[in-house]
Amino acid sequence: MTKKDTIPIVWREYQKEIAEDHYYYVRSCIRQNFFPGAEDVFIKIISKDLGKDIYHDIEHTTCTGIGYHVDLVKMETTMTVIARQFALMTEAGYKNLLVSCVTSFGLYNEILDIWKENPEVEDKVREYLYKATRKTFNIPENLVHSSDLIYKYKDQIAAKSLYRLINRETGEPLRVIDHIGCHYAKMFPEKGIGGAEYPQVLTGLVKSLGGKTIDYPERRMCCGFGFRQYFLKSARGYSLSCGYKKFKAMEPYKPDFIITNCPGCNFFFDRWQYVISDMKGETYGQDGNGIPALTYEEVAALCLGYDPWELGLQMHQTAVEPVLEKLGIKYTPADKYKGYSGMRLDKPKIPELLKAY
Amino acid sequence: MKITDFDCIIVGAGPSGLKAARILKDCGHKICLLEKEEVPGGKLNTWHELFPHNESAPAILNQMISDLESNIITSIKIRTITRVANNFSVTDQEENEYRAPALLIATGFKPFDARIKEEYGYGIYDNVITSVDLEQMFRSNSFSTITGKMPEKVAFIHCVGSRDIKVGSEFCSANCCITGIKQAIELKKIYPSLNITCLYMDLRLGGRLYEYCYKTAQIDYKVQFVRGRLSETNENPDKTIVLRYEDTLAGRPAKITVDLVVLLVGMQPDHSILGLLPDIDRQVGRDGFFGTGKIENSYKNAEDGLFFAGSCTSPKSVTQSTDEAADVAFRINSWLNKKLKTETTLLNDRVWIQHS
Repeated sequence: MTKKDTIPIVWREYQKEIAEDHYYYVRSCIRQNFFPGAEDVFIKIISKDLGKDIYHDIEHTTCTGIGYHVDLVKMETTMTVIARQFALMTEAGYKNLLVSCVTSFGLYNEILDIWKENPEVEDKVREYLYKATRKTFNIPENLVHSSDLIYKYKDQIAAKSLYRLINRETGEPLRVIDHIGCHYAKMFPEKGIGGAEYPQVLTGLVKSLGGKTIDYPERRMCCGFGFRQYFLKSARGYSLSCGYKKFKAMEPYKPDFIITNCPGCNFFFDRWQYVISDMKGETYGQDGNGIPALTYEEVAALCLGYDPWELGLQMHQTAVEPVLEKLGIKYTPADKYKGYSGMRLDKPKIPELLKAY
Repeated sequence: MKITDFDCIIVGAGPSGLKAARILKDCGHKICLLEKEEVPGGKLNTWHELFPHNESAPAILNQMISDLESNIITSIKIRTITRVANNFSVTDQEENEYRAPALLIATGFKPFDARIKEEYGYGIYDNVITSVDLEQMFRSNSFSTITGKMPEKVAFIHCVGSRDIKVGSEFCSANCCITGIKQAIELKKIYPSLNITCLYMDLRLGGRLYEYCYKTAQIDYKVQFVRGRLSETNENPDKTIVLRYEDTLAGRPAKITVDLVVLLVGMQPDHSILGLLPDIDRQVGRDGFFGTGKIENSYKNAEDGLFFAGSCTSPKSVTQSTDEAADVAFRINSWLNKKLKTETTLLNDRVWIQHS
């Protein structure tokens, strides 16, 4: 019998290429609203902690991903909008496109694949773009998701870290549920690190920081966002059911937190725990807490010693304090609901069952 | 370093190599049987019982070896295969040279590496094993889950690495369906209370008595056959395995939890000798197996003295392999007789010319 290994054989040989430096950065629409600190700290980690050149352009727009996936935006429109992002990248003198959102990342890959298979479609889109904006573009030489970049520099991040993903009291590695956004690698496994079945992009980071990921039965299932499930009100029950199924499956493994690389997944893991606790009277963490859901750059930033409230962790509806305690991170509870200027903001209404601080 | 001359060199002492060797020897030829492993027998060393009659594989192997009554050169690593005048010259790791006008390749197959089908979890989850592993469990009488528990529920997954474009194997391996049925019956004979489910794509039971085995498995041994395609396996905290599949008759997704999963791995062409063969492009079909499978080309092959037999030419059962080996052995015999006769005539001609 073959030796047990957590990295499947095919992915030991193949690794996605990730450019060393100089990235043109495109943001996520929803991430800046849900967890603005996460987007902000990502740029800080890449440019300040790692010293890389990252260009963020106020001219770029949505990729139309959500509109495209709910059939509101036509494919030709989506392609032209994305062609414009490429044109902005070309104008700025960059060749590597760094995408912050998993759905955008999937959509960029999908469109590049369509153009590769059907060059006449690319010609048509170039024509549309030129008519609308007088712009031309080059195809990016390297297209990466922001979690790919954190993965690439995970060992440098780990070397600079003040905290490790180790339970301060027990000395045991923290038990982490990794959840990869569906659009990251399920459409194009070779574009993700480790493919779609046993993705390494977050597992690798968690491992480098001293934690341990859990392989549980619903690992690859959707978080519940699944655009059609959430945006169509009539189908919203599916969204909650998905979340419920995920939490029920991860609960027996007693995870310390969930790490995600997709803005939508993070929001839904975070929010649905609160909704389900009110609907069903169930919580999935320990002692009435939820399972904190953090993004990969929030985890990296916490280990690097960033202040949790500066990171915006108070924006999470499932309280993150249990993780901060386990990591031994020093934080001031009273500062949680202070605004960026130091002004005290109102404390949100505390849910009935799910513990909040 | 030693040079030895033979009539035919046979590479691979599995069922087909052994069978061909015996026939050629009986026909009076001097044969050389080379085997890379320490013991002869090839894949017969891996199996416990053979379908459809549940004959003991070790007993059949012993019979074949004793029938041969000839020396088998084992632990041979072939370094080179070249042509020297009208002969093939094969050298091994100790630089011994074997020469013969005819070369028979009977190198067999290799089981599909189930780790490539990563979503099935082989090499990742302890309780996901292959049909080859299960045969070893039968042989060592050690059937159990990784925790040492006696399984209550077992699932067999058909077509792992067969008819699957995603892993680059588009052909049907032809023997896995019946292997699964044979193994399910074997398990039920030993553990009658075991609950066995087979997830199949199609059941391809084209061999003699295979259909009978299938019926027996259902009627007498209550093995469940579900037409279903597995999408992924997951491990529960207690190391049981969750299978998510589509029931392709009902057209709906379904889920079962079992203690042990057996992947019925397909047969893959073994290319370890390919790089040494002369004119390799001509020797391999588009499915990766040796030869072209065409009758007329098989005879054409004979012109240069290179022959193939057994499961290196296509997925085959032991019976089919030995049948092909017998056929090829008789062709080698006629070819050698014709060649030797021609050479003698040429020699005589030369002698006659010299005397004039």
